[in-house]
Amino acid sequence: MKGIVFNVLQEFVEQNVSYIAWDNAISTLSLPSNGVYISADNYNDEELFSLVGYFCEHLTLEPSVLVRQFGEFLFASLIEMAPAEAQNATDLRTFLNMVEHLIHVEVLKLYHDANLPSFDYPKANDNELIMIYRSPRKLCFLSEGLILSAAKHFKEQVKVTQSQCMHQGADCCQIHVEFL
Amino acid sequence: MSNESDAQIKALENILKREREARKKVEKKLETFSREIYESNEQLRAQTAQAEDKQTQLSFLTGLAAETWKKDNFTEIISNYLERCSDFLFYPVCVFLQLEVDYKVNYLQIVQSKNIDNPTYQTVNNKAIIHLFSQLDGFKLRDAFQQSPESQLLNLTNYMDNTMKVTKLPFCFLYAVPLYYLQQSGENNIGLACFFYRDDKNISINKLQTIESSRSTLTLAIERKRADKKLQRQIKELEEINNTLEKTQQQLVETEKLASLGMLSAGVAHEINNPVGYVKSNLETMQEYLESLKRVLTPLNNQDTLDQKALLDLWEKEEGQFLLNDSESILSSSLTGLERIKEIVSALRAFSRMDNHDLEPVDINVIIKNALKMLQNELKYDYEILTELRADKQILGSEGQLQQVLINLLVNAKHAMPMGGKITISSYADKARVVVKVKDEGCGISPENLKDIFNPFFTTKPPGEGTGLGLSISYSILKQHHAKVDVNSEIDSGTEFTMSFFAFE
Ligand code: HEM
Repeated sequence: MKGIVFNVLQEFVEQNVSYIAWDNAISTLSLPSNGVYISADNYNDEELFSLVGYFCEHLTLEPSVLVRQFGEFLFASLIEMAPAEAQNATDLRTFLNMVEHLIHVEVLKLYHDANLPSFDYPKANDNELIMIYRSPRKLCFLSEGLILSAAKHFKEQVKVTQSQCMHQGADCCQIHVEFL
Repeated sequence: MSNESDAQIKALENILKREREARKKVEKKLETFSREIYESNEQLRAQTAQAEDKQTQLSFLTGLAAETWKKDNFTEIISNYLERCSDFLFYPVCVFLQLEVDYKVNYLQIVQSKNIDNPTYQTVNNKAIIHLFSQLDGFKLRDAFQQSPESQLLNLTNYMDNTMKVTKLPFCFLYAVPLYYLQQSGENNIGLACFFYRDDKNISINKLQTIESSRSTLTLAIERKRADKKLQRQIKELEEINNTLEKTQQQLVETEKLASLGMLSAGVAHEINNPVGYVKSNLETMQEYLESLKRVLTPLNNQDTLDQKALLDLWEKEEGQFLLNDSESILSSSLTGLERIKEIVSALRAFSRMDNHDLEPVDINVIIKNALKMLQNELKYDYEILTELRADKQILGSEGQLQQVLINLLVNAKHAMPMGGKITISSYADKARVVVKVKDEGCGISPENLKDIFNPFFTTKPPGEGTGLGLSISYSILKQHHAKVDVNSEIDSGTEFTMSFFAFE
């Protein structure tokens, strides 16, 4: 996982919980990085999961809830890095289609060692988009949060659900984005 | 409250510490990045320089090759090579020399840069260079190239003649390129292009390698020029041989003519002697007649004693009437005799005129008649000569030479019929051509001999009787007249020569 994700997570905790909470987490977990994150460097995915686990325990939150909220928070940082074509997309559907085919492709140009998920877009009807998520990191809830924020960005109303999930033993997650 | 803010400050301090550490890491990363960028930039620059180097080397090689093949001679090839190399190598002093078999250094060509603005320009006056060469150790140099026949970068001090107390050298290094090895009495003369350097600052091994790569082109071009020169020499020699041959042939024509003149002279002498004899005896008779007429007519001198009767008696006695009549026929026969002599002599003169072979408009019929006159004595007894001379156009030719050809053919016709026979000579105009035929009814020529009859020295006559040159010379004369020659022959029934000339119009 790229350092930028940890940087944003730190901001997320600092703003929504406290500096102390973040410092306590880093001080307690004794992570290989010692909590020093550079946005462009890669860090062990386990560090992210440890941090998430720590905060879920201390805040008594479900990981899915925490990760989704973090996704919503993360979007603001990511959209700034996105190519102009994606930022200026006409609507949410167009933008979401660009994630796999343009946005993450550009990410790979910038960080050739980035670990990205893969998205498939099976046929769906007019008021729905299905995104099939695959990743060993099983961060489907991060996707949900990102999508929700993206909808706000494009001033669209959506409902995001999953008809199947890797956390339920499926081999991929089916994220349904319903345009309201 | 204070506890809480202490904890807050502690947390912020920790966060700040990590932040700083992260910044340091980022800065270090940045440094590494910029070093990497610098290095890859350097690499790029080096690669560009290398590519440019390759480019100049390539353009040097191709330019040199193109120019070299265009040069006319050896000296130009060498000068061009030295000039090109001088530019390419950044103006060392360039010299061409030949290392002789006897270890002497010979044949110098010196090229110094014309580009005086160039900082690496080296001037050394030619005298100094020639002096330097007088001090070179030819033996050691030869040895170096006998060991390895390729270009070599030599430390000059090692190749100076130690016996000569060489003072300070104007150069340190010599790049020597052997352009040819020319065999002379088992050893080689070595042609060396030499590039002199004051120090090693301007020496680029890459460029010297390029010079070495260009060597084969030069070697090839020089070899080719040598071969060309040799070829030209051979062509000239051939031309000279051809000239001599032509002269010799000319002489042969004359010799053959003299030979036939010799053969003809007895007959011609007889032809002339005969009329001379009878003209002489005619004149003697005329002398006697004149005596008789004098006796008859003398009394007429004295009018007083003139006795007509006695005069008439004397006239009768001396047969005056007969004397007058006979004188008339004697004189006219003498005139005829003299006319014949005159004709023969003029035919002979045309034949023997050696110098004038210019082609001029001639009447072939006249030439045929003259030839027959020359041969009258040869042919008059057992040979019947039929002439059908109908050609009404002139041809361009040499009278003497054509007469020689006709005499040769007629004599051959006679020899083909030793017991006598009929010879037919005809001439006629056929469109733009004038055709002459000489035909005998003799023994004929066998097909295997027929192909040889125009060859020099071919003869079927016994040794000592024919030169074997007659027909070949006739043939070459006819060739010079641009005449077409045909022979039709059948054993035991005869031979016909046909000559076809361009009519002169
Ligand atoms: C709604 C749109 C998007 C979705 C659903 C999405 C989804 C994800 C997810 C799920 C991950 C976590 C890695 C994984 O699951 O294996 C991820 C990583 C990432 N995404 Fe996106 N993304 C979105 C838009 C963007 C945008 C606009 C950018 C900006 C350029 C971006 C850049 C990144 C980067 C840099 C990573 C981290 C890669 C790594 O850690 O090696 N994404 N994305």
